[in-house]
Amino acid sequence: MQESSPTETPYTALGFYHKISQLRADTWNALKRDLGQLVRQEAGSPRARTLVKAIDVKLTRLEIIEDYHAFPSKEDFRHLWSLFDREEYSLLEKVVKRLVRALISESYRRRHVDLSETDGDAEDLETLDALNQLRRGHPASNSSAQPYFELLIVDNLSAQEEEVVREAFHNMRRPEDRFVYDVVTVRSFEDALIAVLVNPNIQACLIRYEFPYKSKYNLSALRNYLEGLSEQELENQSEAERSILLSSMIHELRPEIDQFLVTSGDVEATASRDIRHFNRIFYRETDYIEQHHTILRAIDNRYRTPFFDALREYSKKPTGVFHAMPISRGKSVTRSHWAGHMIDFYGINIFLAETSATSGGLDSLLQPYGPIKKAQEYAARAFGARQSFFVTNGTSTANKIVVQALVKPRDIVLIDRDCHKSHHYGMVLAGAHVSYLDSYPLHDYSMYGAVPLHEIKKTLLAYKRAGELDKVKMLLLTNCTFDGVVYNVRRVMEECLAIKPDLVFLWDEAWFAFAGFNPTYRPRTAMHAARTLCERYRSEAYREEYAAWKAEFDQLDPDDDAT
Amino acid sequence: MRIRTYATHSTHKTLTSLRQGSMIHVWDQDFRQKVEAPFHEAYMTHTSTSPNYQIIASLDVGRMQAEMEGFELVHAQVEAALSLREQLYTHPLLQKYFRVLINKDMVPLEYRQSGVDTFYDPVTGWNKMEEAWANDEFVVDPSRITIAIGATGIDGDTFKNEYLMNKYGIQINKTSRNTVLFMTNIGTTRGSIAYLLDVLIKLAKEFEARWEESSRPERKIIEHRVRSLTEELPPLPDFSRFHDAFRQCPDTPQGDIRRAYFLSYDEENTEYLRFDNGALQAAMRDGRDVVSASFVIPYPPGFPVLVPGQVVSEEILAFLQALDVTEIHGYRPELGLLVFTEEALVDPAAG
Ligand SMILES: Cc1ncc(COP(=O)(O)O)c(C=O)c1O
Repeated sequence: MQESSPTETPYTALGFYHKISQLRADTWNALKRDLGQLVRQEAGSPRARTLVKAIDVKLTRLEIIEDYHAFPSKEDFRHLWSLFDREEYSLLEKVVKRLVRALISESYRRRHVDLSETDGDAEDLETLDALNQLRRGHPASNSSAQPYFELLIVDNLSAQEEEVVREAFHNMRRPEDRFVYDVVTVRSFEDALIAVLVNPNIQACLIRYEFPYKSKYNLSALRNYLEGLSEQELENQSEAERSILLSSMIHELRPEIDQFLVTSGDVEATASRDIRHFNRIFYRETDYIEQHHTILRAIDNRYRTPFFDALREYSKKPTGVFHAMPISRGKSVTRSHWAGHMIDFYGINIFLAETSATSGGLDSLLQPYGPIKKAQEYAARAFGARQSFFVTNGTSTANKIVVQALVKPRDIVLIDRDCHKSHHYGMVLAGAHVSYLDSYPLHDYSMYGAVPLHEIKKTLLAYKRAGELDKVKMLLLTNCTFDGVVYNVRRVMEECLAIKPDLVFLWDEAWFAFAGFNPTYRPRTAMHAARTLCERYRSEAYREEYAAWKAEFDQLDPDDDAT
Repeated sequence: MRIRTYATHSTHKTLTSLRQGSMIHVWDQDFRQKVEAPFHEAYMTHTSTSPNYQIIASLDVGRMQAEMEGFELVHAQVEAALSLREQLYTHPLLQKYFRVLINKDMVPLEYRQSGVDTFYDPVTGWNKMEEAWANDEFVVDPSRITIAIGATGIDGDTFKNEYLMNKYGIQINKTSRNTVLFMTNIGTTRGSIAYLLDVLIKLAKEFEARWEESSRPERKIIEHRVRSLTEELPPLPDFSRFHDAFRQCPDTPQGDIRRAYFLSYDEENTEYLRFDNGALQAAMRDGRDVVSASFVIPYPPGFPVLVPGQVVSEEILAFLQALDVTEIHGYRPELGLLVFTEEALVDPAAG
């Protein structure tokens, strides 16, 4: 069996960027501190000179980080540098203070922060934000306000052009829009990848033609991730190819990002290529209205919560309750002499949302056709599954459902013995014939690791030798044990399928739902591994078919024009 | 070749969802043709006809949140966990009592093709993680932090309840005899990490003071406890085997757990044997296969030491005798282990 090659499992640059948000916050705070000290020093004193140098270093570092964020903008940064160059340190301190406040309170998500004007009102607002945030203990993300995101534009624009494009998108804003966004521009392939890694605000990406490969920064930390890609090759690629490659790499890092391609080029040539990661292709660069609305619609498609929305709608409707469930609409507690504190504690909404109805805009979990069905489809999209099903009684129940759906009495199931107890009971219920696998022990800590692949293969081969392989139905493992041991899921499936091509896998990922949302963790999830293998086998099958066809074709008489 | 893969998620454990909110994810190329109908039946078997709408709504919102800001939240979680680890690795006093288990402590070398011992390097940072995650047979999720506390002389369970919970209101779930597990999640903040560190430092100082103020005999007691927690650990037993009465094939290991499970429903098929008075050992010495009639699950570690139909082995017995936990499901100390009578195993009826 082949080992994974770097192109199949691209390295992600977690090592480099894992602490970028802490680094960012800490550096801004340190800069603020330095400036505070500097303004109290005598100009030209040795201490002052040291501080100026330190400030220069911090500003330079921050400028790189902020290049990938919409706020502070590049213009803001030019303003900071000009204050620094003119040695207007006390003004610089004031501006940096405001900037840090705006970053911490996240006020830039709600309103434009203009650093160049020393507007008392704006400052008051930011102070208010900061106070609010202190009071509530977390960043002020007002749920009823327009959610904010950032649009990444990949294009080799001049500073001036960049401002024009940014302005153009700003001018599209309407108060009734569901979301508000700002624009970040990067000028190269490498920069685009860094931007989506370091800036989580980026939710949509507009890729335009004609951008170079290399970043202007020396990003040695990104090398890991780009391993396997030859720079030479990329420089030689056509612009269309480069855009498509970029989109698939962005997809690998952050599959949720909505991507759009802007091209003035050859429509047909583009459309015939692998463009599945693009949500849409625009042919006119400057059709901002169309782009704006398409982007907002794409975001809304993720933001929508079909069942939660339906439930809220339902709870607003006046209904007479003539079915079971006295707690519905709070009826049994609102007029109670004794149980009123339940409402005091929970509030009324939860009771308005309690009902046994499946009509009135709601849906049936057992036979979904409406908002629950939609919600499950969205879940499948989010977790990279073909189908997803909600279970309201824990993974304990989810496990029993899957086993019962696939395993008949007397089917053999290979299962790790230190798995969750729901599986052992599931085996009893299903009447499976159980073949327990031992995890490697960690005697020093009285805990188990996970089941080694050679142990699994040894067991499968024993069944093969005994002529019993056809009775083996399923391999059941805990991916990410309680203690955090994670399998190489793709490799396990690949090597088991080589022995038994119709084996079914159940991965208990009770502890691993979050893993689908990080590029380092994701390849080790069951759904990602399944998709990767599926695509691989499909392309291999295609290659073989093609090779067979080609061999046949080559045998035909080359001089015969009829071929 | 067909790819047939299923995953189950306790969404509520690691993302936003009310308790019990879970999902089944399917990537099965045969789902439509072969599974859809039985899946539906199985779903109906286990699902209440009055499912909780609030749980469903929370799953819907949890999915939306993950799609909008899952990247950011998981990233911040990992960031917080890594910075906690860094401080635990480097703080001199903490290291004396609390040792964080790193990749190589939890994954033996034969399963680390990359050879990466630890993701962290004091100079270059966390740049080894991707390499290990891309290649190795097993990796450790660094967002879960297992700390070996044997050097404190306090066992995991006591540490969890009496030290973390009662004294400082810190809640954890999982312990082993000499480890405690701190899990981060997408709600973990820099502030909560700072608090945890603070508490651990306080505790380390307490242990330091305890030692300094102890008399010679008291120190002997502490040393004895530390030794018992760090050196005298009962080896974990492998699965022994199903008794022949529940097996189908001499060459392969599978057993009919269902038949064993239901065989125990008739009282006359089972009896209790104690191992603390030597009765069980005597039966084994006489050549009897002693076969468990129930699940026996000690907490911690929480895995079944015995399942119905499984033969009791020397190793399992040794492990049970060495256990010093109070909670063992399926075991009543005053009666002993529930085992099948020899007659019941002669020709057990199909379950
Ligand atoms: C590996 C594993 N699977 C399944 C479960 C059960 O999950 P739930 O509590 O959602 O039923 C757990 C819970 O601890 C678990 O650790």
